[in-house]
Amino acid sequence: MNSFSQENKSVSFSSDAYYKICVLGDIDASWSDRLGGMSIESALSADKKHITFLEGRVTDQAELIGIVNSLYQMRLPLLSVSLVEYS
Amino acid sequence: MRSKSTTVVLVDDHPMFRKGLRLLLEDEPDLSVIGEAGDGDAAIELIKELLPDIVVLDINMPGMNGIDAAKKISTNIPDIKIIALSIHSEKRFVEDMLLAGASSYILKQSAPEDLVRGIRTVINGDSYLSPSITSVVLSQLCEGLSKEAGSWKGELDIMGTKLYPPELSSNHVYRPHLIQQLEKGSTLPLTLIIAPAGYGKSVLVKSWLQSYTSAHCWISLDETDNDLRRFLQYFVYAIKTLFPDSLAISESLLKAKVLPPVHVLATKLIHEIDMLGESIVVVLDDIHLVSEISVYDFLSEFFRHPSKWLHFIIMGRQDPFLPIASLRGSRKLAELRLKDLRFSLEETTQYLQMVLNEPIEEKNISKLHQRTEGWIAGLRLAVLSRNQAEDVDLFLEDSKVDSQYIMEYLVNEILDKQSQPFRTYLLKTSLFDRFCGPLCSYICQMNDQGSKNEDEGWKFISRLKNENMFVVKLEGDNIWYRFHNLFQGLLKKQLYRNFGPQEITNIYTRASEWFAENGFVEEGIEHGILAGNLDGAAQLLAENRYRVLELNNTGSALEKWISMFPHEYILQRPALLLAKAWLLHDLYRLREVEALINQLESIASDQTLQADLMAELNFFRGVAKYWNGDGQVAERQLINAREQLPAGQSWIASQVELYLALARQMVGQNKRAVDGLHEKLLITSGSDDSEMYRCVLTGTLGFVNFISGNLYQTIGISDRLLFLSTKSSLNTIRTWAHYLLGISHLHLFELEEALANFALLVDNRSTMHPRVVVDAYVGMALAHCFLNQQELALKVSEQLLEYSTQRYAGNDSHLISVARSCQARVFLFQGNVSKAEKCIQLMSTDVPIPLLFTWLEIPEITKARLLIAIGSTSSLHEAALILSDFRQRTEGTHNHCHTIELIVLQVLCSIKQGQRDQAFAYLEEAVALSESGGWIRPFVEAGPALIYLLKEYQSKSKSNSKSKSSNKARAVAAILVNLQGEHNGIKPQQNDRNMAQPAVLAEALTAREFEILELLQRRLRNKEIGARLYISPETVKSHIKKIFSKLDVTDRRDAVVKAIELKIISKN
Repeated sequence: MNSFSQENKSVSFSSDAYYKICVLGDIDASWSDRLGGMSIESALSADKKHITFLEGRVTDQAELIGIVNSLYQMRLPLLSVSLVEYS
Repeated sequence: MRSKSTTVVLVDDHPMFRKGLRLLLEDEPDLSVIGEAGDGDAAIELIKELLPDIVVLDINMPGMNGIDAAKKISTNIPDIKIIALSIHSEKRFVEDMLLAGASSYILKQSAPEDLVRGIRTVINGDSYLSPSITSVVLSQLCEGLSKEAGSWKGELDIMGTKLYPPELSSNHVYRPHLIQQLEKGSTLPLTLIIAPAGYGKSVLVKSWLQSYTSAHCWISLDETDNDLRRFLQYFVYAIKTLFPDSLAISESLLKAKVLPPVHVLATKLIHEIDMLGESIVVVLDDIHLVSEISVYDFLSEFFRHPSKWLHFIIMGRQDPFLPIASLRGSRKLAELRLKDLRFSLEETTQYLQMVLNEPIEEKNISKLHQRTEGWIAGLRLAVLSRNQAEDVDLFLEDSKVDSQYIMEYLVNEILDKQSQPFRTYLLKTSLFDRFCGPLCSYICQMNDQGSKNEDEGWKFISRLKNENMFVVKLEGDNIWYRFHNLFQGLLKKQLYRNFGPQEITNIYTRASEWFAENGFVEEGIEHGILAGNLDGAAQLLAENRYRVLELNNTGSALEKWISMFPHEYILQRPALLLAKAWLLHDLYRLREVEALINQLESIASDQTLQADLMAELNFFRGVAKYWNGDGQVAERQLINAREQLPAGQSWIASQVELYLALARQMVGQNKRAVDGLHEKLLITSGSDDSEMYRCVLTGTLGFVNFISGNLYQTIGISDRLLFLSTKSSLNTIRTWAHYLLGISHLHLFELEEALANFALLVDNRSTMHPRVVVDAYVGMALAHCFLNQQELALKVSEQLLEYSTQRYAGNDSHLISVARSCQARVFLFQGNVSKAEKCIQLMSTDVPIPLLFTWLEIPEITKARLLIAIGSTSSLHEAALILSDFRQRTEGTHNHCHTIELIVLQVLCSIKQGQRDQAFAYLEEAVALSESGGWIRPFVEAGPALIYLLKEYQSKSKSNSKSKSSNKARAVAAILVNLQGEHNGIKPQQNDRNMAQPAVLAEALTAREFEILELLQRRLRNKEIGARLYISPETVKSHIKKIFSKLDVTDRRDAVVKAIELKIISKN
């Protein structure tokens, strides 16, 4: 779960791309609006910890970093950020 | 306290009026009219001859008018007290008369008792204004409130520099397609410009704004904006630079000790901006530097219902924490992102041709374009780093330069080209977020002391400008500059590489010195801390804190300063602990103040502390003792503080006097407290700079009198306080005047006046002391209860609960308990015992009981009320225990205002316990204690159960009638009138049938209806009732009809049964 990128793929700095982010902790889906409109789903891990998955398309890297930064401000530790698909 | 008889001279040009007045005053045993005059001149002669205690003076008179007469009297015979009695309620007359030396201003149209009350107040050395005058002063005060704009002095010096956009350099590429997009976006609420550093975001917006004709402002954000208040202060200030008279309400909200919630702030701002009716563009630059969530919450709130007049341009390096997805969805957002902003090949060409005065090969241009990917700053760095055109080629060929390191590579190239002194300047100044000529000189010439050349700094800056070296001028009156963030960061990196830690510390130390010397305290402290010189920074704070405390006792600047120090460090420094204690004291967080004092005592002994710190320590020791109910020790500590306090600290001195007087009152030395205050007031009279001091002392007089139960005096003093504090624009003190007026009027059962004052406090709740706001809500709820506006009362108690749970009230569990118990009290008043019980159960029980002070709502006392209402043997027993326990406490601290309340409840409790004699004995005590002060509210709240006992008291005192007891008899009569729901100006409202609040009915019945109900119980017929009450049977019939409707019954029998059921009357 700790990979920060996917190998064999490259993505440009200014192009849109589809990402999946995983954080430790529980956030309500209503936060989607302020997290780049990503879809939000929470689950319980095997050791009964709340884990939240966010996924969606970002316009560029600035938006992605904005989302990650917001998660930081919400005090949610990152588990992974992965690129799913790029254009 | 009154000796013999007070002598009065009446001056009025209407003989009939004088005669009426004379009759009225001579009705009072303690007043005698010894002379009359018809104009000013005659009055002065007469007064010189008779030397009365009081002159009652008209304003409009033939010959010398009242104002001139007052001036003459007060200068020639200052001992004589002047009461102005006039038909004029305009402010200028009131002001002129008070300035001429009158102690009191009473309107001719007010009630006759007003004059009597005025005379008694004035003779005690206080001043008095008619209640209706108070409302004049009130309304003018409200006007005044909105006028007090623009007073963040000191902070604004720093602010100014943030509010200007960077200047455009001469060689920037004009980008019409982007300008067009900005133009199009300006009709939407928000344009978002997001790209990494160096893509020309600011330059683009600036160049658009140059041709934009409507109002616009620019805010360059930085890390200090990670504070909602500060952010909003910039925001409001920026808009005020465009519209100086705008945003008065928002501005006053920002002065609050604790900020209102964001939705309130946003709504008010939007409303005030809409009122302007003009388009405004607000640019927020570098939004990524703000991480404080509340700032984003505020902005999100703003975009939820955006103002059609306001367009935001928000710029940053990454997407801000805003609801961007939904803004996009609802088409409220225009966006410019990296792919829009980067230079096209054409633009790159255009730029290079502009900055290079020599031709450059096309293939090189396209290579450079590829290499920099349209990154404008990279392009600029490349140009700056080159000596000759070929260097560009070299750079392009150098395959070792990985694109990641282009920037650093380029900056090194730039630095290498510079002369040694210029390099040093560049590196050293990179430590500062803003710099000016003198600061640069001071920092960079640290080795050759004495021969500092200020020009050097300016020369450095002008060279930066000439070479277009990423320097940004912060416009405005100040002469400040900063580096472009990107460049500053790169330079800083080089600085750390080239200089040792000690050298860097030295730079910070020098900067701290410079900032402090030039009056930039905050930056002085900040750089002192960065230099690791915490002691120096602490010293700077200590030196400046008095000034800040005095200037604006909300202390927000102080809070900011303190927050820059590490917590552990504060714990070791007496001056910082004391500064923090002031802040917490201001917020009524007394337990924390105590903890700080304990901490201070653990690190310093009385011998090691400086005298001024010692004075403050003793002050807080006294404060802590006072709030713990130990007046004696408090007095000692405060006297110590007074002796140790250095001269000139008038703010602290006023606080010392305040607590000293309160402590003396607490130990029963009322006279000493009051005399001490008068003495101090006398000494300071005449000096101009002591208005704040005088106001605090006057307010203290008010509190001392209130706690002693003297309501009339309190009102007189508070009116004066209102006048003084309004005149000197001392907002915080003014709110205390309203508070005192509100609670005094409430206890006097002057409900409309009480409501006016409480409502004013509640309206301004966000700028006020949370505990006072809570009491104002409680007062409002009670007043509505008494006015039989039950739904309003419930609503207010709900608002109180909402307020107390808000974050900005401090989320204090004690305040929440107070709110719940207030709700319980309202339910009790309405006879809804089970709901009241639920509210009490919700209260947290682990909160220690603080001093009762003047607070209207004490949860434990309400609990006793509930227990009495429940009425079981065990609950009554428990109530009795609580009451006697608290009574011991309030008597021990000479807190008469609460003692009265407690005794009245003891009366009620004893009645319920069937101990009639005991109840009567308590009643006698209660009346004796409250009679001179005019207390009514506690009796009325206790309810109709008291009526019989009061009537018994009345008949007993009639039978052994002595002149001594006549005051008491009058007081009891007043209580009875109010208790039976018939008093001046307040008409009991028709009951809402649907609401059916049984216990309320007793309030709704008039005294007459009550009498008739009693006679109905004796089964008398209309004719017989009429004969007994000297009214016609027809009138009796209409009264009975009303009784039926109020009790919701249809016949006499039911009426009596229901009235007994509701305990309005008792069974025969």
